[in-house]
Amino acid sequence: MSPSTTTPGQGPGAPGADLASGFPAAGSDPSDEMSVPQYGGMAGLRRDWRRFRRNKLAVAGLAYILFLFFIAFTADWVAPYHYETTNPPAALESSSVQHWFGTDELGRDMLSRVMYSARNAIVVSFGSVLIGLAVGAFIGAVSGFYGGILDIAVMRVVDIMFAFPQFLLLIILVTAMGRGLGTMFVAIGITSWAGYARLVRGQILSAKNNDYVEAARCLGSGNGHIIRKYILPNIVGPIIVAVSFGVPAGMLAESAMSLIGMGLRPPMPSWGNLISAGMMQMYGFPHLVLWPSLTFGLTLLAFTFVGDGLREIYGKE
Amino acid sequence: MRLTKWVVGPLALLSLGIYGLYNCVLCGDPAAKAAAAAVANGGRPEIVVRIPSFPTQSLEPYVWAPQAVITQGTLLEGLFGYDRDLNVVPKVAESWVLAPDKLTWTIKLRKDKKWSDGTGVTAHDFIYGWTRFCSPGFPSPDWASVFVSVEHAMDYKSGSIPLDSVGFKALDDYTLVVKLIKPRSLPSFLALSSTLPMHKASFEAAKARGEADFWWMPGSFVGNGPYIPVRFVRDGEIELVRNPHYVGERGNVDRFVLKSMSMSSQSVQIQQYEAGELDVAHVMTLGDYAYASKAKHIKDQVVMTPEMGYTGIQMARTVNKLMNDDNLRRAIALAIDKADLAKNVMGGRVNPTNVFGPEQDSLFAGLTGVSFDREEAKRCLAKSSYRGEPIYLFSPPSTDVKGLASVSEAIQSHLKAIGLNVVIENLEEGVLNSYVWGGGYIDDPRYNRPGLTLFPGKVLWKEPVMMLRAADHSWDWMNYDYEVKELRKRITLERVALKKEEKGDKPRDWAELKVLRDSCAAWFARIKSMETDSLFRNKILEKNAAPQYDRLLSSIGPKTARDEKIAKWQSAKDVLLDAEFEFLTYFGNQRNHDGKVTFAHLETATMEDSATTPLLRHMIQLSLDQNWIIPFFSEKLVYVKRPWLTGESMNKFGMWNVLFDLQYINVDEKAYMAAVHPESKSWLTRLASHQEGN
Amino acid sequence: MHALVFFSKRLSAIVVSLAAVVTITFYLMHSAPGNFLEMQQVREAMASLDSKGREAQKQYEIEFQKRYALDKPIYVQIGIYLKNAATFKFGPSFTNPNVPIEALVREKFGTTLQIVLIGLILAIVAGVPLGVIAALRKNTVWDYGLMGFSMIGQVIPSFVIAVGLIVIFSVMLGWLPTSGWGQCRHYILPALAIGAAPIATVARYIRSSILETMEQDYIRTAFSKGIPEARVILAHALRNSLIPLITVMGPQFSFMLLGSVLVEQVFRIPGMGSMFVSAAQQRDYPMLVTSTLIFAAAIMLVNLVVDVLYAFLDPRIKLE
Repeated sequence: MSPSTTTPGQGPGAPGADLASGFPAAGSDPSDEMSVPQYGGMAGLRRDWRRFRRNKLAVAGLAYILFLFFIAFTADWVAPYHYETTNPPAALESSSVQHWFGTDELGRDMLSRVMYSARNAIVVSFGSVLIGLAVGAFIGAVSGFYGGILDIAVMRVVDIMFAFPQFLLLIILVTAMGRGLGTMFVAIGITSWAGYARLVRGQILSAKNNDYVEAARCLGSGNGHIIRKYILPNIVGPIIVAVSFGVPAGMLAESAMSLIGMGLRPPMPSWGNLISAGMMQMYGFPHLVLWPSLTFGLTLLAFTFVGDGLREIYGKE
Repeated sequence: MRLTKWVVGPLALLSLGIYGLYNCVLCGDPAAKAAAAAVANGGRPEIVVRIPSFPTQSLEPYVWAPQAVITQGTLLEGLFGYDRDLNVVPKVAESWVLAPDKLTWTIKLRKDKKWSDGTGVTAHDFIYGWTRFCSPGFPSPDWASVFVSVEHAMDYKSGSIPLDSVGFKALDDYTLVVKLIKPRSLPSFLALSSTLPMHKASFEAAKARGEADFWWMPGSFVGNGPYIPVRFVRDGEIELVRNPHYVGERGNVDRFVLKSMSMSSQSVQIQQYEAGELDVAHVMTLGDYAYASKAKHIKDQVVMTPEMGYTGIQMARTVNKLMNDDNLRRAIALAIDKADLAKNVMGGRVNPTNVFGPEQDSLFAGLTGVSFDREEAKRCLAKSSYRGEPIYLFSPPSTDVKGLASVSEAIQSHLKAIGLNVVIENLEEGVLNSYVWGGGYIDDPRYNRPGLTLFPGKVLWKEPVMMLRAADHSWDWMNYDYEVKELRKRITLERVALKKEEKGDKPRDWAELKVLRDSCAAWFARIKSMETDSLFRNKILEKNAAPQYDRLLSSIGPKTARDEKIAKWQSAKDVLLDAEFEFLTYFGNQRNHDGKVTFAHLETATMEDSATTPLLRHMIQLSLDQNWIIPFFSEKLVYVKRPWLTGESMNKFGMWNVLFDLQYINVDEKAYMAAVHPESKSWLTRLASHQEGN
Repeated sequence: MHALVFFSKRLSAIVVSLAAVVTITFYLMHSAPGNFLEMQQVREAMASLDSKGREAQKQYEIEFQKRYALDKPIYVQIGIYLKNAATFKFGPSFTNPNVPIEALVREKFGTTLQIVLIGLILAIVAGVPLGVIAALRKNTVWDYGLMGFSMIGQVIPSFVIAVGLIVIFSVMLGWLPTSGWGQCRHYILPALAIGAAPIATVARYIRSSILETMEQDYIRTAFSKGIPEARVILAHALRNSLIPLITVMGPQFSFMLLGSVLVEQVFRIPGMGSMFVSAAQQRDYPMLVTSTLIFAAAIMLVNLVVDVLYAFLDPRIKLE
């Protein structure tokens, strides 16, 4: 056995190991621990759902996330105010009937701002995962499937990406590209593709070497057939798990960036923006930091529960 | 074997951690520290004042950074300094004489001033510091100093002239002579950190140890200011104690602890103030201001003092026709409800103003700016050529602590109310700055849109030109006809492109420039005959590039290398284009000839001259009439301080607005002891008995 | 011999990766909009200069470019930088031309390392007992409570924990300072904030590892011999899980090192993290590249050390 810094308990299998420090994992290898799952068709889905349902925490997490999605996408109608509406006379009030979460220094409604933050968090995190996944999966798949020099070259690049502390790379990228919603998820996507590439490549390699794939090839199946029939079903599970941990990691990265003044551009709210602005006024007006922190923490917890649930189904354990 | 492994593993980790814990143990008991200090003070507990400061990476005075604010006046004392009202007063200087040529200053030094090692402060120490500042290759920001105007100082810096021809000299130990190339307010500059003295012996000693970059570290630092550093943590705390040899006015504080606060987190100061970690706290955010002015226990400790400058909008320095419409600019100025900005957006922590600074400043008395009048604004707009085009409001990117982002939003709503189509565009700092400070000569249609930029007008030091608070920008950058601006843009772009032109090694290339040279000579001959103001005329004629061209051409011989020829050709074309630029702005400036002439006079005026103030007022009124820059409000610098603390002085120059000149800070001892050392009486008796026991 | 080959291979890989990191950072920074001289403070200062001052400023900019080799093509700049970096010389930063960056790094990295190491020790000293308790009291309220807490500790980001700690211990109770650096009371909250996640990780790891070992045959043998449960756990199960703990601590170290960027921001600690952030904000390239390099180097070296330690402690492992 060769020593490796990745151990059981790390990788996407370790909830929060990478989340807790506030950025996408640096150096954790998501390809660990994933084995060939059994996945196929609607029947498989239904079976997975039955297994998922047994995990009460995961179901609660899922319910919370669905609620968050609902809020996020109906914020324009559900939120009591617009996130930019200022009302100086009512500045810095604590919770009341008009303003459940109180108001900030310009009299903006904190509840509304928290709601719109959820939307931005979802856009940033899912957007970044999509970008990272699309780039990573494509590169990993091509590299794993064709092998040879291409594979070696790609893996060197991936190694270098892993060597670069990702949070630092994120800061440098945002400095180079300028702040904003678009940059934020592109930058987070760029810093996370290497993990997905490694994951997908590892899955494809292990599938390729399986006897049944060899057999299929011997029987004359084409590449397309092999990919569709054998490889794709096998990598879907691990990818779902990786995504379920990538999304909260994206949210965290965004909020961490906001904390150092490089996140979304105010007045656009994000949990990170709200927390860092609230922190400045924690002494006199603790409600400014309390509510966003609470919602944000709950969201991360919910995603972790769901991720754990998914891992139980698709992981080795 | 197994055992060793079991021991080595944890031990390796633990020993790594010892480095961390080491500090933890070492820091010791604060009470013991206080006890030692109390003994040193003959039983009286030390008076310690803790104030916020900016992150500082050295105490090197010349660096254009907040550290200069700490060093200047507190650690090192210049010939001149500031009193508590920020007037320039003599410190080491005793008397000074300005020769009738208005250029040669002779300054006598006090003989009783001492360095912290007990040696006397002499004129040579100043010369030593100034020479260091001007040394060739020394990374000093000379543009922020007086040495630009000292005879041959810049030639010395570029290495073309030996030191002894530079225009500052020590006649004897206590007499200095400074020769300028144009009149300037020398005393104001001699209060700045760039002209502080240096203790030669201690600096040379540090240099010999190979620590030339760290001569200011506590231990090797020798200063002539009222306090000297005893502890220095980069970007962390700095501790100062009394300089035992200081002669001059100074408060009774024994020790200052300067705590570093990064720009973005200024506002947590109030927490630290309440937690007893700071004795003064700057109130930066609206939230903190709301809290401090309402909370009963600190409401009375809030101090407000007006800044010197103002915040306003400036027309973006882009080249487009729309903003050249006088009526449109006046309509914008009329439409902005400054009282609303001050009260509702800035929460009452600013004073609305129609002039370039606090209205109560006597400099502005009787001057008239444009005040809010929405109906008049609408009428004015109707007279203008504005037809609903979008006007961009270029804004800073973030929630800067002062809430400027919300100011933009408020301005947008004010301007929309009279029917202007204002679009807010958030820009990165670097890009935004090119709109605010740049020349507006970027050849990009996106760049050259009509717009407004938020704009702070600051005073950096006390000099007539600075007192304009950037109002002169109207004349230098904006107040030209649109066609002139386009021409200026063309010339600037040509100058930028020049670096890529590889011409000059053929006579044909020089002949091509000859055309430009001849017209240049003709233009300047015309200016010479037309301009009646001799000072202004001389200023412009300096730009005549024809002689320069002749000199460069004649310096080319048959043996000159190709590269050198190209370099010379490029530099000839550059000065010729620059001259064309000057010529254009002279003949294109019928609108603002008056302003430019006044500015030329102010450039060479001194603060001491009684004729300066009327000139300043004239210039400010001219700028106000043009509405290229529209002031909104003048900030109040707000802080809270302990009731027992008096005499603090706020640095209102530039952007590092923190307490400085700590020598004036004084503490009411009785109140201090009661508040900070309520136990001091019983504690002192205990200490005394303890010592007897030993 | 084997170990030597392994060592030199890993070290050369580290050097190549670091060079790549520096190159990427250089290219990214040079494509960033705005540069140091364009930043607000310098511009503001120049606003009111007269014509002489403006000329001096122009000259200053040219000298500035020369001093930092900014007038050279970017690959030359990278070459110069790498050559100097090999001897641990990084030259001065933009903001403070009088302070060599290596002097800053020496001080600030020490500061950051202190927080991280205290956090690390905290993780072991607190995490291991918590994990053991949870394993001993498997499926009881103790277990659920501890694991629930550690779940929260793992999930909630360090800066939110930091904020919570400040609210409770500084604002409400007034026991500890909100920020600052230099005295022992300043260490407590940052170390707690940065150590929360590792404590939780270690506790969870120890718990699951002990439970796993309990299934092993030799443990059952021990039980069947009538040895008390607590003794079995401490003597056998815990001992076996302590060695692999080193491999858990390696990644934790990197997380904490990077987490310090945020925690230092919250507590205003003058460490590497704050240096990195302010360098990025002020477009101070030399400082930014150097701090990135130092962070990356520290993480890679720690990974190497962990591997070597692991192989040293566990005879079954061979370095290859």
